[in-house]
Amino acid sequence: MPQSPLFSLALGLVVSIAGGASAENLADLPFPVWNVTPPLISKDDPRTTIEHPENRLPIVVAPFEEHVRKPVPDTIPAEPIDAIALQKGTMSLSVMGKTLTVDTTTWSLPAIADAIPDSLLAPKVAMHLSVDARTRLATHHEALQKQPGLRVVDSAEDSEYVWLATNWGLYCLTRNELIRHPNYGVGGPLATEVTAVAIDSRGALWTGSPMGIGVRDADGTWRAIRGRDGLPVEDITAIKVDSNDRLWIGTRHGLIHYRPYDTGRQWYYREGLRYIPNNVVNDIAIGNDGKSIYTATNLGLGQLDIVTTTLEERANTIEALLNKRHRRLGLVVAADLKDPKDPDSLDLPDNDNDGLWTAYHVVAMSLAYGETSDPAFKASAMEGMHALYMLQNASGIPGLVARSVLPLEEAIARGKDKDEQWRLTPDGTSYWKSDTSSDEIDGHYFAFYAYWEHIAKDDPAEREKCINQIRTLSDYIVDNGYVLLDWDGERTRWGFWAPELLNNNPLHYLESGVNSLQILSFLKTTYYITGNEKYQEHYMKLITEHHYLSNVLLEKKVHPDSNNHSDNQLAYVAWYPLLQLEHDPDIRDTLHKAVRRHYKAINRDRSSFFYFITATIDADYVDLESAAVNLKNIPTDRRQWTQLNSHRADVVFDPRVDRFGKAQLITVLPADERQFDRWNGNVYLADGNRSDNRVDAGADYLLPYWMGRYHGFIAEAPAVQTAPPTSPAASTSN
Amino acid sequence: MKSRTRSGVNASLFAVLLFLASPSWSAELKPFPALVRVVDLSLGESAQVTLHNGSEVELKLTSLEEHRDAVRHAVYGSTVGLSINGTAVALDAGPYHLPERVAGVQVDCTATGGLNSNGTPADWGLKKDARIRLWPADSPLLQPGSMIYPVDQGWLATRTWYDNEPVHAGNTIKPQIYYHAGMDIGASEGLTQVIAATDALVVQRGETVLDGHTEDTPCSPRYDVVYLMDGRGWYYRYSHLKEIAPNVQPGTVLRQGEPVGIAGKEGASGGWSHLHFEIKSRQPSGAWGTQAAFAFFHEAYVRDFDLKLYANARPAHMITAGESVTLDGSRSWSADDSITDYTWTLHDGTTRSEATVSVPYAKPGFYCETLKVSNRHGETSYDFAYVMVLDPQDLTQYTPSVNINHYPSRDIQAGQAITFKARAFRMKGGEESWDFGDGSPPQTTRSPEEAAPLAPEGYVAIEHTYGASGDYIVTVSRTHDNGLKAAAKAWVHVAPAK
Repeated sequence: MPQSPLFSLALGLVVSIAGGASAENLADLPFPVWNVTPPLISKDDPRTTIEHPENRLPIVVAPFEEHVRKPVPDTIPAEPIDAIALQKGTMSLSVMGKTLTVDTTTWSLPAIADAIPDSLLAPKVAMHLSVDARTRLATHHEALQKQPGLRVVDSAEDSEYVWLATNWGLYCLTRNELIRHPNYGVGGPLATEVTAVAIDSRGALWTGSPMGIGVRDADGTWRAIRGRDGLPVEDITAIKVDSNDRLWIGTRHGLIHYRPYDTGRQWYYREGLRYIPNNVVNDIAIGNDGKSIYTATNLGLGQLDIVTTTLEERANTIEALLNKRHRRLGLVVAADLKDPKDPDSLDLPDNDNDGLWTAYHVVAMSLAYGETSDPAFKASAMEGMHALYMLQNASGIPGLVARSVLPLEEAIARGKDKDEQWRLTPDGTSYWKSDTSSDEIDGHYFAFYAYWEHIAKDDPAEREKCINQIRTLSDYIVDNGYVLLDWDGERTRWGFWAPELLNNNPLHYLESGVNSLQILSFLKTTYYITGNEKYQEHYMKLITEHHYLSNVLLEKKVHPDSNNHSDNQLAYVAWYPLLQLEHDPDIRDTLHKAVRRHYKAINRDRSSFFYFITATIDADYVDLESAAVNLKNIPTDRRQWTQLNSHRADVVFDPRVDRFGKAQLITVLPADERQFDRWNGNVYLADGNRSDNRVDAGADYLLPYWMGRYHGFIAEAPAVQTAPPTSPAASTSN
Repeated sequence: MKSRTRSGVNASLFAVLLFLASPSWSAELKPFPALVRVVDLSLGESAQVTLHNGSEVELKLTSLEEHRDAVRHAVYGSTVGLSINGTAVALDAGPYHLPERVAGVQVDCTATGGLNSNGTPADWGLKKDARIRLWPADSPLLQPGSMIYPVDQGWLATRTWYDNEPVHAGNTIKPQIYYHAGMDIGASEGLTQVIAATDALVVQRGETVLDGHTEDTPCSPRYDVVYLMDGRGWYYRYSHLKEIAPNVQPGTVLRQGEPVGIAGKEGASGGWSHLHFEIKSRQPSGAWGTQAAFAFFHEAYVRDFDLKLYANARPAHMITAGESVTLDGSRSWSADDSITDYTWTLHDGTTRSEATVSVPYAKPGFYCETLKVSNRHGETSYDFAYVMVLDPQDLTQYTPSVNINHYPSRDIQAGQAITFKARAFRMKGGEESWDFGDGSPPQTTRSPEEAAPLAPEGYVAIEHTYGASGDYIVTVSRTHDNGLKAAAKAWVHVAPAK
């Protein structure tokens, strides 16, 4: 195949840098060299570390709050709700000109009444205004009506004043008079269209507008809170303050939680069906001692519960659901909901990387067992590992791993019998998917390592099986010249680790590092498990004769316009066994340099998984605090709800699109505000892919969680029987 | 270097410029101070200001209420509370406002902080809450004769976007507002002459900038742009020129009224033919910023053309279908406060006889409403208010629209041919229907739908000759395939043939 001139140039460049080209020459090149090979400078010497407090690790993660949407019964119509009020278990809703009374224990509707039309007071105000305020206001109706079309849209009261938000300014009703605020834009609400008003216990007056929030602090000074200050959406529709002076803010696109007086994370953007039934939020009510937030939206009533949980509780919930809903032939798979409203109506389709995703779970459970010795984790790991063996043995060709397997009937139902990539198993009971990739093999070795280390090594029934399986797989690769041959004797498209393909080959420049890393990791793991020197000899041969260690040193390819997030994941999956098993000081030093270099490319991603693996060799260099925070932010509900952020006023776009041409942000949003993927996608994407009915198995959470626990990077706070008087969330900062 | 003893920012700037520029012009372009005093204030801040006649003014910004429209939340004006020498003043401010004569001064407010909140802060160089301009009560705004209207065109004869008027720019409606900075004067492409508003040094012709003016000046090289600098040290931008006059050469001095070029739609015009005229001066913040020019144009035009009366229905409006808009003709002007009658003729044929009327719009579209004002001397004047009515289902989409201009637009006599031009924007299907308002049969044209913004064939031209003197309202309208209608109008005053 002809060589692309660009790749030739790129390759030549790498070689020339390795040969020590002078900086002057490099400056003349048509693109910046640091995009090709970030230099390892003195501060990157792996012997350097960052100073940390004495008892930094483990990071103890105290119980924290999670916002969980709770479905509201169908008795509440899915219609635009203008206003909501809550009093002692009774809720009032203003729906299409009617006032509905709701009993919140039974969700029945004891009363539906026609609302009294009021040209001056919007339903929200009519619902909230106290009798006293109403009486005082009545004497000023005439004054307000002098402004044509004026409408009071929100109100707030303290012992002295009644504040009125109107479409023509902010009014203050004192005991004697009605005063219109003089300033708008500065020194007042941000616009004369005041859409919401609220008072907190510290004397701050909060006003909403289509431009953002204007707040008058207790000292009387006004300031603006807009996108640049962290406000995700500026078109404000409602503001409510809870008993801790934390705000719930309704907007025309989503719900916002704001903690102005807290340190740590202050903004929580709650957009999309994960949190609310519709993104147009008209009103908010805070109930259940601040633990339930009710939203009146354009499509019915929403309930968002504030649930206190721990990382371990989340892990246990996910693990239980995973075993209940996400096992197919023992494999761990994502599911599609047949009925969006029924979480049990699941379809479990095959996936090109059933092995890789199942391996995540096998490793997670092996580490969990290593950490806790709980036999349930061992059983769960074993179920997945045996499913991987099933994939390894399905083709009937020893060592040729299947991408996926489907029983005969299901395979035919899914049309696989007409797909050449799907082959009948030798016993005729199933179909297996061929053309297996290096990604898939990467997962199998990842699982081999952890399963052996924590389970098979010390279990006579598992030990031999594990040795035989890994030996068969490795021999098939090694004996065929470091490639994976398919059923037809041809190499699979992506199954190659051979020097003649990776070295000096512009076509595979991008794979040269990660695939070199993989084969070294595979061989090291096989040597460790089998004890057979053959694999160590191949390992050393690739290093000494084919400079695979040099390839690994430049493993991460960092062209800014083609940052491959999937390759990050494939590399880290291979890094993990290798970093645990290589103890030769010279080789280990090189691995240390290489993984630090890779970490530099991903150290803004807040990836708990990558960070923990890096930390197994370089803990003092890694931002483990962010890794822990990221775990807290991963929602327990693994449904892949669409989450949109590109409209936000507080985000900054990267001028470059990603390698698929999609718009991306310059900083990563909290994991509870964006679509999460299995550590292999672009975390900077503004808008997640739309797949509301896809439910992930959740192994992507379990893996870093148990890895962090096992390696001592994170720990659960000791259980406290009697809860302290302050809110538990106050002790968590993220 | 010669020693010069001067005071003030402009003067010291001049010292530098005089040093840098060629000696040939320095003898010709005489520096002189501006009459206006500009003060930027924060809410509650006071300032002592010395006016050009030496009088002292104690000024305080006491309140500020910005007014925004409901669709884009664009600032379209403000009510500014001032204390001037202890007198409380509530000043109405915004595009097309003239300075008010109050508390012994003339005062206006040309920019407020809200423009920065969703606009382009660099345009104004305003770092405080409001920009106040002051003159003595009996003073002209400019030295008489020091500025003229920069196009050979009637007053408000075409569509304009003046001062900070929020522009209907771009392909979709975005949260970031394009507040105009400077004066956009609709003009007939290839026909309307652009002339120098002041005596001025040519500091930029297209891509070429005069040495000494490349750094820390408003100049920005572009093929269609001319920058001139006048004796006040103000820079004048003339853009979108179809042709730049040959005498406009960097380093030479143009006399007021000499040709600068021919109006067009070159550069970043968005495809509509107009002159972008903008004065940039040093602002109190130290940054360059736009010096609002409506009041200057008004003063110059009224004096130079002995204008006694004009209708003013501007600025343009944007609302959503189902809402009402307040059409405001109260900024119409007469020399002797003689306006007796305001008549709005609306798109549905109804008329209303108040200066300010509230009009509901049920359907999306691009409407053009006619204001007629009369004074007690029996004179009349017309102007038009454009109302873009959006579909509430999608507030990011502009409606189709149409733009009209004509040449000549001054001193027209019966029997004289007039060239009318029109261009439809965001339009699919349909054709322009022309009603010349004189009972002649309607004519049709079809401006291209797919033409690139700067395509030479963007506008269609049609000639018309009025046989008799009178006031004629020309209407051009076109309907999009989706049923949305766009209309634009022009007033042609025809004098008897000589």
